[in-house]
Amino acid sequence: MKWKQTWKHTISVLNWKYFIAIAILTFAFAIVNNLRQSPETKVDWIGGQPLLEETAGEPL
Amino acid sequence: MKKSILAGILLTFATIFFCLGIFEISFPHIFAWSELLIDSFPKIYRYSIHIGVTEALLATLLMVFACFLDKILSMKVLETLSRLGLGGMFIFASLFKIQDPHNFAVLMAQYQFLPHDLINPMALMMPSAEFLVGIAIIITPFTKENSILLLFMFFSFIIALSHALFHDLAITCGCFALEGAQDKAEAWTSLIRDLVLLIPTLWLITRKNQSLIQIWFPHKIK
Repeated sequence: MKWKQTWKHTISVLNWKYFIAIAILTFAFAIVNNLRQSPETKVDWIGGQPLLEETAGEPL
Repeated sequence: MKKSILAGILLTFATIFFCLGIFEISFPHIFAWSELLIDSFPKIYRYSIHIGVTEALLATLLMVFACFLDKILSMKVLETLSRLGLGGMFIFASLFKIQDPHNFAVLMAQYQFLPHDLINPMALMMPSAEFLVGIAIIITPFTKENSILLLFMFFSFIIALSHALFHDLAITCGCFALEGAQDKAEAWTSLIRDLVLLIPTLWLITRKNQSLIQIWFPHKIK
């Protein structure tokens, strides 16, 4: 019961604007970081990467 | 006064043991001293992480004793240590990924966890979030908010690692280096480390929002 009250209190005092600020900063940081990469280390924003053969279910 | 000095001595030893323990759990190959458990459980126990875990437990025990002697001082030290430790670890872990997003995206793809088109955006966003939250938990007063963000990241790591181990994927964790695939023992080590680090993260969520300077000098800064 005490834990429940603690969590309720924690949620009620959270600063939600801070989460938005961190999300915007993270997005901006990621864009700038990708722009400064060389062609070898840069990735496209949409898409994925190939699966390497040796990773799929190999026993140790 | 004598109690405070004794608590301070205990907390100093606890800090040393805690730092050593976290280093040994994070970089077990550097501290691979004992071969006994590694030979007994080669599939899950390649490294001697028991030394690190023992040291972390010993540090916890010393902190409990210190807490009985001087609770206020112990809480201050514990919060400072947790914030510096978690923040430092996240900053350090993000540096390799920030420098090479392509290799990190390749490593994320090997987890076979996310949909194909989400791998690249996550590989770009995740290290940035780790870096910023790592800095923020050290320098800003938003302890609760940053701890909740750390908690979400730890949950995502734990789910991804559990998924990889459950499906018997031979991959590295990719936490502190981007070396590609082959080492499942490291995935187990990372999973144990993440589960242990959930404890200070959950505790930090219950703490008051204040900067590290405000913790030690509450009356000087208004």
